[in-house]
Amino acid sequence: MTLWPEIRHGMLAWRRLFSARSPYALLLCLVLMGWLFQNSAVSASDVSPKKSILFLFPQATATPAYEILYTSAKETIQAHTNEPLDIYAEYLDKGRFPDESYQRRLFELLSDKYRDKRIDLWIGVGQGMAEVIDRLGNEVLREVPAILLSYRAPLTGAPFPENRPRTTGVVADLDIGKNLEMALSLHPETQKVYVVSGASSADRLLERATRIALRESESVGKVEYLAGLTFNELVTRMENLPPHSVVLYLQVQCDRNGDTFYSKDIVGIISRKSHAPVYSMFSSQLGEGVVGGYMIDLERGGVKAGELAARIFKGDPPESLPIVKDGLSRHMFDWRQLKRHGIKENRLPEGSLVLYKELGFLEEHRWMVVGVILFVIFQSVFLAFLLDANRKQKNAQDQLVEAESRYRQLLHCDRLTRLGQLSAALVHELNQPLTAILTTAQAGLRFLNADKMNPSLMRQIIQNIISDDKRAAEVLWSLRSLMKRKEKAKEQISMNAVLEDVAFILQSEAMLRNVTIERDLDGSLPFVDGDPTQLRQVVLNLIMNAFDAVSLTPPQRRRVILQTRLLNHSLQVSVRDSGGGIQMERMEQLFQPFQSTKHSGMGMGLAVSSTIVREHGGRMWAENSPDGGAVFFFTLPVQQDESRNNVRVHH
Amino acid sequence: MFIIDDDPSVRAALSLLLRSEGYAFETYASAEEFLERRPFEGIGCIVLDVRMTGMSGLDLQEELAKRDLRMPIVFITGHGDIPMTVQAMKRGAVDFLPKPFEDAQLLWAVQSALERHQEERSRRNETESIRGRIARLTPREHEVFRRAVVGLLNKQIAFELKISEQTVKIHRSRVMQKLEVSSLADLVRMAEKNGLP
Repeated sequence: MTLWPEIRHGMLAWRRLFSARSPYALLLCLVLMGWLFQNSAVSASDVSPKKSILFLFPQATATPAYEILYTSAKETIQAHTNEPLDIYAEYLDKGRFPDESYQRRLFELLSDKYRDKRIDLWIGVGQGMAEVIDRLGNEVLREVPAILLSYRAPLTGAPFPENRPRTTGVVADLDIGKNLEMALSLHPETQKVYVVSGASSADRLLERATRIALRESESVGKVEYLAGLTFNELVTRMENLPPHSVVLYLQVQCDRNGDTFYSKDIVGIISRKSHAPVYSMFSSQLGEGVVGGYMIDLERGGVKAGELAARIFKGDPPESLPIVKDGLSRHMFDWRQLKRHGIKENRLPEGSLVLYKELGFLEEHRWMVVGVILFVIFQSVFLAFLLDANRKQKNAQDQLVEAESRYRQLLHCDRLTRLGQLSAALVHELNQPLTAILTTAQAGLRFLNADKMNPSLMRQIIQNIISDDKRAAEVLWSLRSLMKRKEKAKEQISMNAVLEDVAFILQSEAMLRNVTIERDLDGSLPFVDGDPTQLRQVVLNLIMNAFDAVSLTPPQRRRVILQTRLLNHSLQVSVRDSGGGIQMERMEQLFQPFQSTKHSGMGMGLAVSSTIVREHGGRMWAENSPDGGAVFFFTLPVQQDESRNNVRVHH
Repeated sequence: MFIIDDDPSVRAALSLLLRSEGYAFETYASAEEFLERRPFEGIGCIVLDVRMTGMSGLDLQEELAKRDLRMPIVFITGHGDIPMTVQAMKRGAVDFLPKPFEDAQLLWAVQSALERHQEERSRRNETESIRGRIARLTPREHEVFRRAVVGLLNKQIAFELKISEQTVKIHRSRVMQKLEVSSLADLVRMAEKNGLP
């Protein structure tokens, strides 16, 4: 009570401040505004950019289908949004814990668990997840946008309550009839179709849906249902199927004894035990031994859900996003099973996806094949070039444009010849990281199988695989940088980098030939204008020549020294070898075409290289070094103005 | 287990694989580095890359043979080393695995190498022990031993050595005793193992 007059007093003071046109009022306003601004800035940064997603699965953790959905959805969201994600997942495990009171207590627990968590979106898999969320008693969660994934078959009812606010989804049609027709068309002699399903309520529901779906089918007379057997009964039946049978597998979550299973395991066992081909409905079962089927492609389902999620995060209201229904099922097959049952790929329906193909000769020896093809292409192109050049000479009316294009072709030919010579080294260079990846991954699997895996080991294994993979990619990238065939592409390049690139590509080749590459590079080199692919080619030619030159030198003394120097108006690159030097009488023709002392190669390398250098405004020449060996030099002009030099500073 | 490969990625991968099976191992980035180590006395095996900068795998194999360090070698190699394979196998390599190899292949090769090493070692020990026992014979006993194992009768031995048959008998029984054998057949077998006569 005694406080009251003081507050009044305070208010009076405020009013005085504002009513008087005193400078205080202005000052106060400014301070207030500043405070407001600051505050709003703080609250904006308070809102974490992280989006939170809750996945809700009706059955057990590690159900294979869930893994696929979860991973593909997550990856799609991450690919579409650059924001980090906070992902929660709950598995209700209804199949193994059907007890009502348990489920109720679980709901209460979940409701509490997420009371203070900000969830931006939840994704429910399977029927009835909307009802679960609505029953949780968590008002906040009920208002969160939802994406529901399920499939539709007879009896399954609506995928989710109609007009549920902020809800969209992905609903695949389970077309059992189409699957059966396809199976019968691949096995026209079929006498009997066994439809396998389990004893859980979901299994029973699917079985009844199938009965309804197949009621109208022409083949209904051939169908026999093996529903709700015990596991052992099922296995025995599968082992003793009569000839000309086909198995259509629905799902077995649980058998008559109440034992629960991963449906995927059961389908694997069935496929191994039965001589008859097994078809199934979900892509998660492919690879376990089923031949295939008109399947719901779970990966695609996950991707679609991920796309919806990404659009919701971008601000689209969920209601405005139509439910995705199309293109979720497709004909999918396991190549190994097609082989096992003698089904030719050309008999499969159009647009079928065939997975698990084993590599044939072509795929397995891709490098060798590519090498041979490159060689043949090179040979024929070069032959064509020779014939053509001959004709052109007679005509004596060479067109400048045409010559230019031939020139480029020749450059490309020269590059390909070089690559052909390098292919063994390149295979080795790629093979090393690939070997490391394979062995590391297999070691990982062994740790896992022996239950000896721990997170730090896992991290190490994955990190090793990543860095090995990057190394392989680097080899391919550098290879590409040599192969590229561009029309006049001049850019600012660093000659030191060009030398390093080529030295990198050649490191295996150098090792094979026991040659040491040494570098003496001038770090203050300015950039030059040039075509990086062509200049790499020049350097490659010079170094490869140097390799050849030292081949008769004792291995300990096989050295190639790369040197760069800045001269007055140009920069100079030299490649020095410790070989036998150049005979004086050959000096003259060194840069003429078809000058080769080697059995391999065409003697075009130096001619091509000096042409490239000339085109770049530079000069190429060779000298014998006083201490034996040859040195090849070339120069490239350096831009005179200051701004060019400044470019270097930025790098 | 000794991993010798100049490629750090492959070295790391092999280490993981051997570790997953619980083998004890050491890694070396070059043949030279391995040779600096003091010779390993126990049962082991070398997993060796053929192509390395500096000393190659084959060079190392040769060097180890020169130094009488006879550890079995499992070679790993890139493509196109077939002539080397022949050479290496002739010199007693246990296996020659082209990269990339299956984990089971490598582990199998390594395991059989270890078994082989173990076997060789025990055979060697036996020969050494026989040699030791033969060394304990006196010169005269040795003369009797050499003649007995080629099938000479006591009488003949006595004649050759110009001693009495009785003395030969005594020497002969001492020989049997020292060599720990009970029959002429065992004696002959032992002599064969020792490279006699």
